Amino acid sequence: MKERLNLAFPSLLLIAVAVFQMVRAGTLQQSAWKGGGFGMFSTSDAPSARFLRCWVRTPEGEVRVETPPDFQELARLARTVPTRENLERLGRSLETGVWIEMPADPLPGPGNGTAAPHASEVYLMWLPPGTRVPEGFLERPVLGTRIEAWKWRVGREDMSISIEKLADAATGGR
Amino acid sequence: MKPLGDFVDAFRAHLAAAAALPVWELATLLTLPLLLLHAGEEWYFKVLLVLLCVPALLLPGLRSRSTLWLAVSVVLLFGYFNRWYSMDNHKFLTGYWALGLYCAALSKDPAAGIRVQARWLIGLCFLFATVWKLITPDYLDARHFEVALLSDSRFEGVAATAGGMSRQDLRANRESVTRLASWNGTEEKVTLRKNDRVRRIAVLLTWWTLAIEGGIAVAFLVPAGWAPARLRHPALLVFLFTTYAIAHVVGYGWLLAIMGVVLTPDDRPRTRVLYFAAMACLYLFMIPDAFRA
Repeated sequence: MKERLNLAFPSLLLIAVAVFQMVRAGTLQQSAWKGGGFGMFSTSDAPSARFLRCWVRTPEGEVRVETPPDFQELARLARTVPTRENLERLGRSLETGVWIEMPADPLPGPGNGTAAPHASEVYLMWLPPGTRVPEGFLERPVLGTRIEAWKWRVGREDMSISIEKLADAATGGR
Repeated sequence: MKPLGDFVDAFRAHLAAAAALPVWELATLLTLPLLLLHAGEEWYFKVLLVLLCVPALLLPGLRSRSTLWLAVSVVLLFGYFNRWYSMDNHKFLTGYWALGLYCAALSKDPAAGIRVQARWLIGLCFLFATVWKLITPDYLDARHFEVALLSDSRFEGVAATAGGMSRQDLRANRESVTRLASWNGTEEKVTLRKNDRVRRIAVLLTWWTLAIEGGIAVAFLVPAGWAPARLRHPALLVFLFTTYAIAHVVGYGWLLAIMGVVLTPDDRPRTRVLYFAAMACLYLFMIPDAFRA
């Protein structure tokens, strides 16, 4: 009996994790692709088809920002399991550090950590806590954040992909 | 031509000898390189697994020690569960397999024990994969594969060659979805360029995948005496040779091939050689990608 239980242990662990993952996918909007439930390639709703939109609240108003590279893990978690708690955790992280206003968009497009939605808008770059604001740059105090998690919704007939909000959360500021 | 002929003869002799190795030897010898090459990119995989697996490759006595496999499973499972939200499913399966090696090493008959692990882990992972596909509406109406073919670079080769999509259209689709999901995006909807042939391929892939994965789950989960169990190796080999020609997930394919090798009866060395060939093909299938890049 002990030997059989010993040999069954890896399979029982697989079953427990997979069932847990299915329950979480049903209750917390967790992506079927992740968490050990073997749901990869079963839906277009992969973490890569989910994305975040983040804003920081400054005295002058909200500014949309890119998730800094230091918080990529938190962002990944928030995309995979977009619970309020995970979004708030990312939001609170964005409140840390120093946000500086960039004079212009030096490298337009996603991935550079700085680009603004439009050239005319303000865009902000995050620096780690304790970083001295470089000369000539203006620090923007952050009062709070707003984070939204979105996913693709694929049209049944025309292969159109629209976006659908999964969850949002706001944090209060420092 | 004689040196080439000698080489081929020697290669065949070595291959036959490898296929005739005891099951436990095969399981451990094939698992160690998998762990070294495909366990993960994090430092604890790179460092700790090298420290554990390289000595085990060099010292045959180590490979039968349960302590080795316990240490390997702890490293793998800690790493995978620590970052479960970004780990692919086959990583978890790799962790369970290492744990299976540990449990088998503890048993009275490790060879029989590891066969138990291989059978149940294959059957269960394909069972859950099939259940997920059956309960997901955008899988069943082929939307998932159609979107993947039209906008996922991993499927570009199939969409372009079999689906007749132009590379420009596929690139435009990828740019559209990238814009849509961009942190500073303003678009709310994009429409992918498509054609009827891709739609037909998506439908084919949808039902083929469901059939082969469901078939493997049944074949491996039913008792050995039942009729579907006779299809275990043909179904798994067909899956390996077809799926990974399109989706290049070497670590997953290799792991499934190891389990296939382990489950092959000792008197069927040719089946084992087919699994070895499948392992080689996992890499060969990636060559066109290298040229495209």
